[in-house]
Amino acid sequence: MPGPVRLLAWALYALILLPIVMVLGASLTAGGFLTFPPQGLSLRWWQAMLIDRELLRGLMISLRIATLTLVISVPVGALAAIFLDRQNARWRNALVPVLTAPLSVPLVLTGFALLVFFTRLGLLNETGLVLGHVVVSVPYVIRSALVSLSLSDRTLARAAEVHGANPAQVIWKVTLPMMRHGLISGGLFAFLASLNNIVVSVFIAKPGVIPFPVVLFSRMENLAEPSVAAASTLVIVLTAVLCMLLEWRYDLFRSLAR
Amino acid sequence: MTRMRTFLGNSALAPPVLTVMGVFFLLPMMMMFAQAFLPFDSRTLTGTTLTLENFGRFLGDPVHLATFWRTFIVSLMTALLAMAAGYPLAWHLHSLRSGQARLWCTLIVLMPLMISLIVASFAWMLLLGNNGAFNNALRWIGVIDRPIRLMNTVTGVVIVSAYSTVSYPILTTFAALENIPPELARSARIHGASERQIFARVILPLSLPELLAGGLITFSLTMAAFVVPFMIGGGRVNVVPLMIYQHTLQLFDWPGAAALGILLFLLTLAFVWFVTRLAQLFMPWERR
Amino acid sequence: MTLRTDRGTGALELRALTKSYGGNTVLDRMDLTASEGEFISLVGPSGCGKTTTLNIVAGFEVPDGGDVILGGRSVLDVPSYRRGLGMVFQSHALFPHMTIADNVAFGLSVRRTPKSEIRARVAESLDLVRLSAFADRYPRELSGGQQQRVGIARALTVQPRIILMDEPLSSLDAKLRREMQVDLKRIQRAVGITALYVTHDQEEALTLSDRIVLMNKGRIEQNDTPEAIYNKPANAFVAGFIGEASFLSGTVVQSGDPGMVRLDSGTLLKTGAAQLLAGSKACLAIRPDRVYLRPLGAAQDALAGTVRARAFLGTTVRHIVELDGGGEIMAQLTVPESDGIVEDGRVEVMDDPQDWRLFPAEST
Repeated sequence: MPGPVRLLAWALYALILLPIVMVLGASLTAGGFLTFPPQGLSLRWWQAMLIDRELLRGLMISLRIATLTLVISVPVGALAAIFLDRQNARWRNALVPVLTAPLSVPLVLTGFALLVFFTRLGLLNETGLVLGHVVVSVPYVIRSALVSLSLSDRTLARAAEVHGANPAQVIWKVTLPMMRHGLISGGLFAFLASLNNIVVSVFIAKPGVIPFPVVLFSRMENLAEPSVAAASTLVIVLTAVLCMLLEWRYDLFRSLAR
Repeated sequence: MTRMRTFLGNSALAPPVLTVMGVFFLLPMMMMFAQAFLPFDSRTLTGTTLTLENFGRFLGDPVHLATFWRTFIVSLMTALLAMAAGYPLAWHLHSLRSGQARLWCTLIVLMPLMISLIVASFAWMLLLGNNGAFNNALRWIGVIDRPIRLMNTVTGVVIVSAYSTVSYPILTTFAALENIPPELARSARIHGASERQIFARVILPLSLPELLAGGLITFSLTMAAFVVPFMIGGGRVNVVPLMIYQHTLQLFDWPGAAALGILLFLLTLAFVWFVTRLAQLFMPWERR
Repeated sequence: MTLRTDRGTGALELRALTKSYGGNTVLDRMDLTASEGEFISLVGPSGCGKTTTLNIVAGFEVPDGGDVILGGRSVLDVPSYRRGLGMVFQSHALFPHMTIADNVAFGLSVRRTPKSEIRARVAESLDLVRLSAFADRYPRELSGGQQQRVGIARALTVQPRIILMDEPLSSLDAKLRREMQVDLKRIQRAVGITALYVTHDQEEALTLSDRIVLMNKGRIEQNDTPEAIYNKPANAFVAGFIGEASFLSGTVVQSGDPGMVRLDSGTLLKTGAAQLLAGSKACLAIRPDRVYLRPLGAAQDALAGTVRARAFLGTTVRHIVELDGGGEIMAQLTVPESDGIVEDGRVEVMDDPQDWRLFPAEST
């Protein structure tokens, strides 16, 4: 690889990391408003964040919704992937785009459509938020689970069957373990997609149940105090720790990086 | 019992996802679609008769047409920028031999996908402002004496949109590069091609379709994005998704929002279809 | 044929090539000379160093020691793309985004050869592999055998000093492989080009080669014509790898011609010329087509055994005989010869001493 390209690549990596480093730095400013580089170092805005009830509440709501979304969308997506995997190629090619449609429909339309629907049903609350997030998260799980399945040996399921496993046992003992990798990475994406979701949430959230990203979004309009940077740092750190933990425990990105 | 097992094993696979997608995606979509054909009344909000007037009031108005055009241009520029930045990164990732290095670089490359769009936009606001890090750095070097205006401009929106979606062209191109059998490069080499020729004649043409596919994902996502235009554009860069947001939550003009959404979706689909066909024309080996 | 190139004699010479990966020696001072127009096969079990040898000649790998001489000149410091070679790959390695004609033209177009000359030479190459009608197709529209012929045409079009082939037929099915062997030989003869051919298929090597180089653990076990390597294997490894053989172990009783060997089972056997010292352990290699069986008579001290398996192979019948006192021997008889021999029947093994070769025991 030519030197200039390598140099360009390193510059681009730095550019990707730069905004993240800046948020981290900005949260430590001693000044009264957000700047980078920070004006002196202090933890005063981290303290401010800890007594900011709206922010903390948003964070709790987001974590709760993301967890519920994960718990619902992984089994639903897993079963759907197994179902799709067992169809013949023609059916599969026809069905995959249908069942992962929320990935190809503009998110702003999904959010708006859910607003229309949930207004009728009186679901503009936390339940509605979870359901909305499940809709946009399931396709991630389906996709990565399908990739795992397509990489694994299809005859294994037949081998289990011919040696006496009933259909439920085949799924539980053979198919699910084979797609474990895809479910973990799909689940991570589902969790993060929910945790960071704003486009769907902004349509469904009502006062009292405002997820963290929507809280940030609403404060952006009158440019924020550094406690927002502190809270953002918290979310970034949480995301990074989650990725590392899964990577350390399950080689999450090994397959991607191979 | 046996029948029950069979049901659990096979027929129980589809219902959960069909329920989720049918009830909470397809049905809402249909309801939204229907909205577009109902008249808007600022007092009762929606009427009951069917009409095409919602489409007419946007397509017939030059201001709205200009917004559609701006949305398209912003998305196109974003896709081009993300592809231009994504290719060298994908190539670098592909050329890495050590597993550890690959892992860390992959993590970096996935960062824009993993972190919240709000947080990222927010960081870019610190970077791009008139007193932001970018302008301060340039001033300090002495390249400029007046700040370059990036916040509240199309340029700024394009830069941040590209940042938030650059992972897609990187991942698709990386996968394409990894899938090119190493024998192809060897075969080119032994039959007389230099490294530069191998790249230009073998590697680039074989990875271009996937770079384009990644670029189209970036394009589609940007066509539908309102967070970045809202935060970086600061009301000066109006785009269709932002209009949908405003019509829905501020004007309560749901029929108008639905009509805008349908038009935006159709425009996106049409362009993606057009580019795909065009690409097939220039890459006949891709045709099935 | 204008595809032929003449750039001096002694197309290829390898001198004391050595290569190891992390303490594991893959090539151990290997020497090889190929003369102009010769078809040489490198044969051996996987990991014997044959592919490494090919990759070193191609310039994909650098040897730890030794030299590669092409057309009278060392090429170790010449990059792959300037060595003027042609290569056919196991996976075909055709460029999927180029037409057949563009694939074949590749080597010339990267050398910036004039368009008119490219056209003429591509036409000539495609004609040679009988694929002129497919010039404008893409590789995926062709069958495996056709794709491999394109690979051959692409390699020949650059008028290489030698053509390297890395198991080019192993991805094809058995029937097609035999057809392609004939084709390959015809093309190589027609162009008169030197060929270095790597295969693990000994039958393929016997069919195609002027010379077979049998390798094992980075060394050459034997370098000879197919006939010599089959009929006069240099050691037990060669006998076992090229063609089939049964092995019996014993002790040399009398050296010289004829020799005498006492098998471990106690039977005394007359053999061909035995260059081994009396008293040394020896190993007897026996080709199945040089063994005859007949139902056991009253003969004393005959080499007797029981038929354990019988397999009908069309023109011949194969028998596995378990010898009394240990050891197993394979016998391939014609259908009339095998008449009267049944599974589990007692048989006498008839020896034809000239064809039973004796090797030192440790070389097995």
